[in-house]
Amino acid sequence: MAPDRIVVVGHAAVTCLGPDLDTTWQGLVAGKSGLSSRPDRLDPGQYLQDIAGLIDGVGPGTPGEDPAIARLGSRFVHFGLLAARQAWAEAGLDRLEPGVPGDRVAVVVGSGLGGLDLYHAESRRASSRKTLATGPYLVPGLIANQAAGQVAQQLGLHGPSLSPANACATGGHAIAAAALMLRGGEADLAVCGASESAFTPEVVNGFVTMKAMLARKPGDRSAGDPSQASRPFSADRAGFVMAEGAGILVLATESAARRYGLRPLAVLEGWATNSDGFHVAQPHPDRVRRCLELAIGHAGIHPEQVDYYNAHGTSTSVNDRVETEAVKAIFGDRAEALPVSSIKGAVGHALGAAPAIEAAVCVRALREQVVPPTINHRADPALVLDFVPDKAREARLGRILSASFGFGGTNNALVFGRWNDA
Amino acid sequence: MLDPQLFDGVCGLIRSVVKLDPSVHIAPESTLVDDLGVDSLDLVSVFLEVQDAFGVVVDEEDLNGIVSVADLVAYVEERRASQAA
Repeated sequence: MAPDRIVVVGHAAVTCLGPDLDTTWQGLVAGKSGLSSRPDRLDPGQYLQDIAGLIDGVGPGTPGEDPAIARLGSRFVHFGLLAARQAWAEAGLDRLEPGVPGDRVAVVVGSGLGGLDLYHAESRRASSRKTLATGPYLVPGLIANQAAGQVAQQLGLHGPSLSPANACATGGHAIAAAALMLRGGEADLAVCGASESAFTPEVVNGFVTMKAMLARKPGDRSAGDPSQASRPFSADRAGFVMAEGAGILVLATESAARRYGLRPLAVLEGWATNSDGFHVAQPHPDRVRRCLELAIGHAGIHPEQVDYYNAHGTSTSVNDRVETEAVKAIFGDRAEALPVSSIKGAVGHALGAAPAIEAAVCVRALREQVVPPTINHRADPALVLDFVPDKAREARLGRILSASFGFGGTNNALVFGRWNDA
Repeated sequence: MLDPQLFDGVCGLIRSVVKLDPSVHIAPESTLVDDLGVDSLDLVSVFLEVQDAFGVVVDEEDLNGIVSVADLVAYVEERRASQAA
């Protein structure tokens, strides 16, 4: 008997293009950028880069603050819970009577860096105190599993819990781990994905110093227009642009979806993770390619059955070159005809949350039969693929391969398939 | 008699820490835990805020004796006086 399929019954994203997936998707297909220069939040006296993908209006201390977690001052917890509430509601699980037993729902929500924003703020406060005391909500807000903790607490979920921390591949690992839990029978449903907000001078300046992030440069095309800062696969790409946000999927076994009357939106057909075992930050071309091959193999399909490759596409020199080579190696003669795009041109790089945001976007792309574009694209003669420059494109999308690669040499790839209602 | 200015200041700190609904009235005899929903972590937050705002050092050992808002205000007054002396 074939194993129970894993279906997506809820998908949500909170990004700098909008605090929900609808707004984010509309911005993506319109070719908009959510990046801007924000010296109000990223003081140029402290930050080496003030162009970023920041989210306004939701999160701690804002009018849109979630009162249930108002005491937790770390932004990643708020974004994670917001996306989880949206995906949970989209699935209809907030209204289901008598509801899914909480102990049959897993929560797998990770974060690359956790609540470093709170750590930074609290360090400053503590340094001016007369005693050595630190705020009692620092540790609860700092720990990388607190987004998962609050998702479980606020939604009343009591199944297995896990919070991967796999750098910029975190969200993909979370989705793969959740799928394994469902397949292993540990849960019927899973709320999975990742959340990130790690804007501190140390993190931003560290990324700039290691030349992963775009530096402030007078001659750069971002100097006059911050929306041009992130330009994946472009000849003049010069590093990623950091963002914050969250992406959440609600997965279910197909049989559980049927039992609870949940509407499948897409199928998670395959997934794979592997390790470079090579370098602290540089990707290894062979291992990256292998990860994509493993995911395609796990889905039980052939490369020619992939209709769109949703790229990691960070806009760094190394990533975009290595990823292009991997796509060429796997798709062969067909590579140049395969639509390949990176939404990081529009929403920047939300680090650990990025793969989960991209997963939600892939599910929407399957629903809409539209490929979101790579904005700000200027062709690089060394990288020749169909990068779907600047304009969204209607396409027949049966399957999407989405990949993410993290520092520490950790790779992830997911295959999503269209759900045929018929 | 509690210093009304100090009382208002302490109430403001409690409100901001616990995110109290503005409609909730705080009286001197309001108890922190039962009436105002201040949990054990909140209590530490309130004391840290009091410490920062009023320049007094709060001794962890003294926390158990503070039940009501009036207790807290009286404690701050007492610490201010003893630390000024």
